[in-house]
Amino acid sequence: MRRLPVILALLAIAGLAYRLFGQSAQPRLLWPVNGRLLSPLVADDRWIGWVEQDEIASRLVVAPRKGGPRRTVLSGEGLSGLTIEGDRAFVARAEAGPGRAGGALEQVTLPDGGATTIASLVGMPDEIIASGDWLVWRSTRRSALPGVPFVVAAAPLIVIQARRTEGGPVHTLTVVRGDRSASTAGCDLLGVVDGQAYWIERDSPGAGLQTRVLRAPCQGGDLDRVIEERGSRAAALQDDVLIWTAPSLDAGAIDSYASVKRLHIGHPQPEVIADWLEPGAGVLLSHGTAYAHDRNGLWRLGRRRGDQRRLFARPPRVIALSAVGDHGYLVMAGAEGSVVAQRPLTWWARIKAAVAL
Amino acid sequence: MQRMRKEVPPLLGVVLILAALAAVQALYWRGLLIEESQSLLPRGGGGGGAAQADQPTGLPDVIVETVAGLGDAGHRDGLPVEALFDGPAAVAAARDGALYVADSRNHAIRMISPTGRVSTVAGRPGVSGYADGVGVHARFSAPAGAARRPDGTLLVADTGNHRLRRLGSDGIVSTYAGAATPTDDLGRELGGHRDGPAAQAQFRYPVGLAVDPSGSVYVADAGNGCVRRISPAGEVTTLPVKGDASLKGPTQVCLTSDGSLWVADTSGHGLWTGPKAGPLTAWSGDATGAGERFAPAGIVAVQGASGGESLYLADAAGGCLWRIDGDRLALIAGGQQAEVPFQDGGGDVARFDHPAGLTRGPAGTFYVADFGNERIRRVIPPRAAKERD
Repeated sequence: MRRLPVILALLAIAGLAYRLFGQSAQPRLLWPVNGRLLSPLVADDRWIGWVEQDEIASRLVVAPRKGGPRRTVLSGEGLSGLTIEGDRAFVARAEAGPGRAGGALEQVTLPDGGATTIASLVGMPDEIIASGDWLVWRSTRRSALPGVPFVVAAAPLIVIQARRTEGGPVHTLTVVRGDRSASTAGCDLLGVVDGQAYWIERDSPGAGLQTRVLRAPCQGGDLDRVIEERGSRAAALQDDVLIWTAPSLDAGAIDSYASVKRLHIGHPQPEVIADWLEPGAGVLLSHGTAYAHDRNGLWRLGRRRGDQRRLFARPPRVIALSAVGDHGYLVMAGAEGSVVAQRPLTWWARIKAAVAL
Repeated sequence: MQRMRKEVPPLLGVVLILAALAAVQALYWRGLLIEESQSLLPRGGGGGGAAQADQPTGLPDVIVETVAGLGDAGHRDGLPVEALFDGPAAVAAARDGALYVADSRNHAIRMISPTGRVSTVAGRPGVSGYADGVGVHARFSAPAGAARRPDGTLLVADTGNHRLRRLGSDGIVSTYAGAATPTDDLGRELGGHRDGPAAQAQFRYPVGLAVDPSGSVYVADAGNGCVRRISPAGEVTTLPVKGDASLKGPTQVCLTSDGSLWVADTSGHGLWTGPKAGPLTAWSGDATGAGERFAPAGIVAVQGASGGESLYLADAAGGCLWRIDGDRLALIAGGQQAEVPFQDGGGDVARFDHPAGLTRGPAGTFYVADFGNERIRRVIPPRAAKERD
């Protein structure tokens, strides 16, 4: 009988610990997303931002990362791509309608929300990155002959252009065809390192499954192929570290499993830092740490292959994922709308979250 | 009391504490896991597949066969089953039985010899540009139309360059019509619209071509939404249209034996017809059977051995071929919304993927530039099939 208090005490400790740590590991719901998410979830050191659209308009929404209410800093039609640097947000605004197709880049001061149009564009922009002195954006010029897909010359074009943040001439870095039959299925911006813009291009299934990471000087110049990988789906770039997914070396079929490779820009050979992820895995970089996410969860990747460690299981219906510092941010969709949630990525963040509960 | 203390070994306490910690750890990790069935948010509604309505099928006594093309996108000359095309958009037949293909994404003109061997006769595969010259030294930009002139030379709609080019039997490529047009910020010519002498005229994405016996050339000027005529003397005019309606994006023209001009208006989802000098009128027939997606990209008039003439259409969006039967359309080959994009055989089983340009073949047959399937196909209509058997 004298053992009973000890056992009860231990059980109480276990229950308390589970309540604190277990709950702290659950997503912490922060802000609602009203309507459809139109941009990536952008996580900066100070701000979390996204573009949402309901039946009325599209809105650029930001919220302080340390906590606080969300606020709409810009609204209007056609907002999509978003990037945040310091206390400035840059958002792409597309204009489309009968007889007109174009767009603009808007600069929004945070948190007040004063917006300035910093560039008017011929194409419709939908992705933008800001890094140092440079703004790089992707825009689409719609087909000159809508509904005539076999006239290749009139197909829509995907154009990547750059300009200094403070102004100056626009430099066209690359132009690829964007029709369904084109050899290039599309391209996504990755970042700017040492004045060079990086992006990933994917071949359409009909033209093979090659993927290339290309770069070009932001002030214009020759393209340079950084890596070429068959079957790669995702890539991320931060500072001088490039990571991307590739088919698992041992998996056989190209869609079986994914590995993650890392290349320090300037080094000749990439290294495999993770393997046996589920097909369709994505990658993130934050503060020098590489992450991968697949349908099993979010993984922190180590320096070597095999060091990968799952941080948490993937909640259902995650439609956007970002990481900054010791927290991951998710947008989880539901029938009533979506919500931005936060999850700790480190023990210290978990303990802080547990104490805060 | 001392005796009782001795009955609880320290090891047991350590084991209990470790077990508790293990339980905490296990519960902690269990807390991290969220099963798919556990939802923090309400689930969205599931989407059910819509039942597919029965689709009309082609005619089993129509024969569709592949003339050349392995089916993969690329560039390779050689035997018909080895050759690779990349976006064949138009085909034209020569008197000697050879076929010329506007291989649009290869920016080249290919030839299929009467024996079936495929070769590149002009343009450098994969390299676009604008340059006159001999064979591979010439440059095209996404050529999407071709027609043979009475003198045996080939006219090419150099669509991306907004010009018409001429390919002589000596392999020399020259500019037949079209002047430079304004450029955008990327340096690409935008095309224009100007009538007058061929060298000063401007076009905007010219696609389909037809040549009458006198040498007049009819151009489906897709970007300008009109049909242009180039007289044998080289004067470019725009054919008038009756009424307030207008063409949206014509991509092929053809001439019938009675001197009528027919136009396939892909963007406008319809047909136009009229005398060669115009005015053109929207076809009054009933195309509702082809559905809302109807996008005629090719049209050809084919004369059977019995002297009768039939008009055939390539429906790019529907992936099928139609015949104009009076004021109606009759599906002869291919399947709308087909799951399999390629299949040779009878018209009821044959499949096309964005069929585009058509041209007349011998003995009542015609050829199809099967753009999406990267192949050149031959279609043998029923009467021609019987005559061949």
